[in-house]
Amino acid sequence: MSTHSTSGSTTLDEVTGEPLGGANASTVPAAEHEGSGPLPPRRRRAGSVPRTRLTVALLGLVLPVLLLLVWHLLSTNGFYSPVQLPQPSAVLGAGWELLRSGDLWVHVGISTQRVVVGFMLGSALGLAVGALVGLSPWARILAGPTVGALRAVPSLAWVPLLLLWIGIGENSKVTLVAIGAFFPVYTTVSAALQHVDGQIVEAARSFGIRGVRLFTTVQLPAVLPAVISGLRLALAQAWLFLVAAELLGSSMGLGFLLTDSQNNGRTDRLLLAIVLLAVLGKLTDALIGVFERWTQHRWGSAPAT
Amino acid sequence: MRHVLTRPDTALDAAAVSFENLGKSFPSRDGRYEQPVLTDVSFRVEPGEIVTVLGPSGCGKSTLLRAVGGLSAPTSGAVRIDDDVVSGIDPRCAVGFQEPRLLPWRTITKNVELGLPARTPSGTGRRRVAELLDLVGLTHHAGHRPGEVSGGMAQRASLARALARNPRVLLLDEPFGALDALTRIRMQDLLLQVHRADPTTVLMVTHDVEEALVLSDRVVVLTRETPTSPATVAEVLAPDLARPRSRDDTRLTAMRTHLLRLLGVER
Ligand SMILES: Nc1ncnc2c1ncn2[C@@H]1O[C@H](COP(=O)(O)OP(=O)(O)O)[C@@H](O)[C@H]1O
Ligand SMILES: [Mg+2]
Repeated sequence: MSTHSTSGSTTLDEVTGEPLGGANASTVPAAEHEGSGPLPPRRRRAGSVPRTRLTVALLGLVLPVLLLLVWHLLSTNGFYSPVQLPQPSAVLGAGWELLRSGDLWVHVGISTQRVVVGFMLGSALGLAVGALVGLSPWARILAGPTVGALRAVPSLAWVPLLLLWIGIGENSKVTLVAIGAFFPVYTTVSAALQHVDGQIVEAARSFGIRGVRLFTTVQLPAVLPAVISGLRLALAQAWLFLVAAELLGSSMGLGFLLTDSQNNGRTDRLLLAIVLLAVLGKLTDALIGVFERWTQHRWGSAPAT
Repeated sequence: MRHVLTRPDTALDAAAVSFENLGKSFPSRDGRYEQPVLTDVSFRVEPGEIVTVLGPSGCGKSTLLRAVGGLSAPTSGAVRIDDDVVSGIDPRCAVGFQEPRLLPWRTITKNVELGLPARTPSGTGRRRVAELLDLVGLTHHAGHRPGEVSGGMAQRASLARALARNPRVLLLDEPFGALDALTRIRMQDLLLQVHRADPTTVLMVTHDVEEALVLSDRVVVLTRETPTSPATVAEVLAPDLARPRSRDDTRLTAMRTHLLRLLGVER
């Protein structure tokens, strides 16, 4: 094999064979760049899948427009009565009517508030308990089965108890939403933390990193994709539980709008509430997308798992 | 020399490592008995020495190194760094693992920063990391993530991270084992250069006889009677030759044959 240069004047270019700038900047040794060279950037799906944002957004609207057309046809050709299926324009009119009376903002506002507050509380608690159970074998042994059993209770079964304990006000609704948001985050986070690469954790520990710093430097970034998908599920659950809470007893909110419209035969408002729920659900989900991009920017692209 | 690693102002003196009748056993797979892996290991590494631990795969070399780093406690006996018995992760040690073990979501620079001692002022830290990246030839890949560089580069980043700690004892677990032959030789040269600039104590595990002979002041050979019996020190060999050494020095050839025979390979 090669003989070591015997003088003390070895330059680093010889030693590491790496271009270090300056005169030798272009001498890249073949050995390191063959075979195990840098991976090429991931290629997009080939073929005719559209690329630009605008086209994608427009294509996403094709189906809703078709649905609207079918709806319009079914509601005008006598197949359904106006009580069963009002025309799209009637729904729009109902929205306008509520908007002018100011009721629309009350319903949308209070529902959004309940979801946001409940979701924040539930997912923060889910992250905390999930982290504890995922990281500490003791917590897992002691609390794991109990939390698992609580999760097995269909969450709506809590409603009578919540009404009994907290009353029919805001708190019981927010609590129910929080319960709905808690479990998806808890489950995904605690499971993901148990599968964090132990070798990386050990390496970080060997550099004196421990406790909260170990969590924020290694474990949390490692489970970030799981946390995000847990948050997505939690948000969907939060809206589900909101409607349940509002259906069961309230005087405001989109769930109330649903029951109230049903009782008064206002199918136009009923459909309006459903459309609003779809739009709000999609908007809040988009916020999680924003949060996801922020975390990726903060911690770099999500680790491949 | 174009690049000399400046001795950081915080440079501390190299520490001695002594193994005192170290023994380690692990619970067997079914948990019914203790399987001894190391028994009665005693030797001392002087401050500033490069010592390699040589032994067959699975004989407990990593276990030995982990005991020094405080990553796992011995079953019997003790390891001392200078006069202190190791009882947990020791800030005087830095470990270069067999695998790069970089955080995949952090850039190479950010990964190397992880090795800096606690409470390093950020300016000093940045300068030190830049210097180390230059030393291991990764300046142009500083902003890349581990998944975007070759295995050899990742391993060099891992070495830089260990050096960033400015350790008094550098523990290296087969750090070059996964590299291609050419890169391996470059990395060995690099290690010697770093050591020349800042002679810290280096305890390095390897299963490569040639690597041990080219690098070390002393070679500690671990052997065991059967693959299931515990390993212990069979011999400590001192290749008393000035470094850098030529890989085809005839004096090394004789030692190589001797070591291979100790490890059970007849030539
Ligand atoms: N944490 C552990 N639990 C159980 N057995 C282990 C553990 N770590 C190592 N061993 C066992 O100890 C022996 C020595 O392992 P190791 O020190 O990694 O060997 P080497 O590094 O020499 O290849 C192996 O048989 C291995 O299975
Ligand atoms: Mg090993």
